[in-house]
Amino acid sequence: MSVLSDFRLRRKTAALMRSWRQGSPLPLIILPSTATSLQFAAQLSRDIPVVVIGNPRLLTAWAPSFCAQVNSPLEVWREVKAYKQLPYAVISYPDQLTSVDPSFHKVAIGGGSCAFSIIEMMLLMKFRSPTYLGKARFHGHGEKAASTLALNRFAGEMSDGLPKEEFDAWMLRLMEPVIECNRNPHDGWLARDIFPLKMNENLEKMLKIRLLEIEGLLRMVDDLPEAASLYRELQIELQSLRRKPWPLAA
Amino acid sequence: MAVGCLTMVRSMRVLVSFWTAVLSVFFAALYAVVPRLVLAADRLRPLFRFTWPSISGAIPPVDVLRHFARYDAVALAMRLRSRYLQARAFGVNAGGLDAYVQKHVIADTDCMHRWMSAGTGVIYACPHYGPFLLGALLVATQGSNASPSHVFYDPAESVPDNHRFDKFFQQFGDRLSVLHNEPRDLVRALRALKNKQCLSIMFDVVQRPTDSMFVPFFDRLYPAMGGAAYLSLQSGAPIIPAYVVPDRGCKARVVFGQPIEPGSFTNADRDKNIYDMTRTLFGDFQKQLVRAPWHWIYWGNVGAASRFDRNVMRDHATLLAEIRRRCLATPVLLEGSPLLRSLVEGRSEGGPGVWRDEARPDTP
Repeated sequence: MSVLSDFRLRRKTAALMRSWRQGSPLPLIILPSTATSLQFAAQLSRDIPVVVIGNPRLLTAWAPSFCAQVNSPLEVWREVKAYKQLPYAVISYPDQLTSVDPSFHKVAIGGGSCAFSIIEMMLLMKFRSPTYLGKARFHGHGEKAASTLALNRFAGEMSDGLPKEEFDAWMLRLMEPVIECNRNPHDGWLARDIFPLKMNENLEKMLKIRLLEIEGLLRMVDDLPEAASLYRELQIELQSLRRKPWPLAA
Repeated sequence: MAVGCLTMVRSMRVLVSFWTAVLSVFFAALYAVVPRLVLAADRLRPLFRFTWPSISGAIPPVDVLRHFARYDAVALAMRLRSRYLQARAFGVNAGGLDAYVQKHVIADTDCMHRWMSAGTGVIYACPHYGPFLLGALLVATQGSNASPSHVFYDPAESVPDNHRFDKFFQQFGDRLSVLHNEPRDLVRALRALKNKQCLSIMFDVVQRPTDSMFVPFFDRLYPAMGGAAYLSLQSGAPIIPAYVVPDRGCKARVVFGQPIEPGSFTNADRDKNIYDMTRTLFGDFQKQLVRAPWHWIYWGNVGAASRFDRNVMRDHATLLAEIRRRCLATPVLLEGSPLLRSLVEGRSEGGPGVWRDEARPDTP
């Protein structure tokens, strides 16, 4: 990350901290998974109470020193539902969540459909907290890929009884940071390979291909005695997984 | 003072008129030349449209490309020659087949006769390489009404362009039969090989990667079908890799690779034999591509395939890292596979894995 973007991040976190100290409610921030946005979340979590919604496994792999508390949408909802205001700032990374249960809602994007958790909508409807959407700008390629982050205040007042037909439109607006990244996937977007799993038509195919690749790797090196025994051990499981249907919830 | 001013004004006038004249000539030339260039480009467009898709889709990935100097220029010339030969070959009819092949296809026919007389059938593994249609015509000349040759490829339902090939091969009647990648035709292919007939099979492109196996190919896991290996193991027919390259004088040369004998693959596990044979076949193809990469049009598939660290072949830790990397890209996978999860979490291997937290429900 450049010195300039580091400076900008500090300015953003300082501004958020100042408004919180002045009594403003804690914000909901929706970000795409980039090195800069993870740094921002880590920085913010040092200054104000923060909970991150994301995949702990991915976050540990992408940022081993990531210090913020990471919860699942379910855990966050259970904790906050009794409060009148958000007890902590929530930073959500929708591009990391690929679960397949009914609390995910499918919205149409770019000729396909993509499943997003409804946690952000629920938080917005319940607390009406100030909401920020992170817009990532990428530059460089491959290992030199980098990004900057801009936080834009989410404008618009959601009515109390949100009609069903408006739900998708609101959801699309909230998910704009990650949908934007998906339009032109860049090497700097960490969830680049994860995001396609959120699409029903891709999920099963990609899972099967990954399994076949793992099988291919194990077969390729079966001269190594450890790999051969590992392959024998995994073979049945891999085969049964290949036959398993993986539908996304309707 | 006045004289100095006058001189300055005069020299300024000269300068201005000089640059005006230069710019006028330049723009006049520009207006005269540009429309002609545009017109010329427009005339060249059909040729460009004809060749560009095949060139742009046929550029190897950067790591492969850097081994070949002037790849683009040579590829353009070679692709044009292949296209020309292929287009001409579509004009052949049943009556002129033998004469055409004799005149335009150079191949070691003695070798072919030897393989045919070995008492088993022969499988020519012929990729989409160069003017491959001429390879199919050569195979057609090996057939007769009593003992036809066969070509095996995907049906037009999955590859619409193959309808053209179906229509073309039909004219050779009983001498050449078309078999498609379907269970019924697989049985026919096997029967033909058992009857000591020969079969040409396109093996380098997979329509459904989820039904394939992944073999190492240019340091990538490349999806491959095991059809050729299966047929070979079932029938005892050797697989002969055959690559068709354009040659001088509007001719094509068929280059044969190292024959792959099914007798060399005697593992008790049939799937392993199929995998090993397919891997050997792709190994031979890779060698040919290293020699002359420009004739292949499916480099895009190699670029899209998943790369792996070559050290996995000798290092168990690298292998585990590669498996972890793939699991990381599909976290859902781990929820369905306890063994895989324990593997990537590092429990069974000792040392800290990437995954330290247990899987948790992600949703409210």
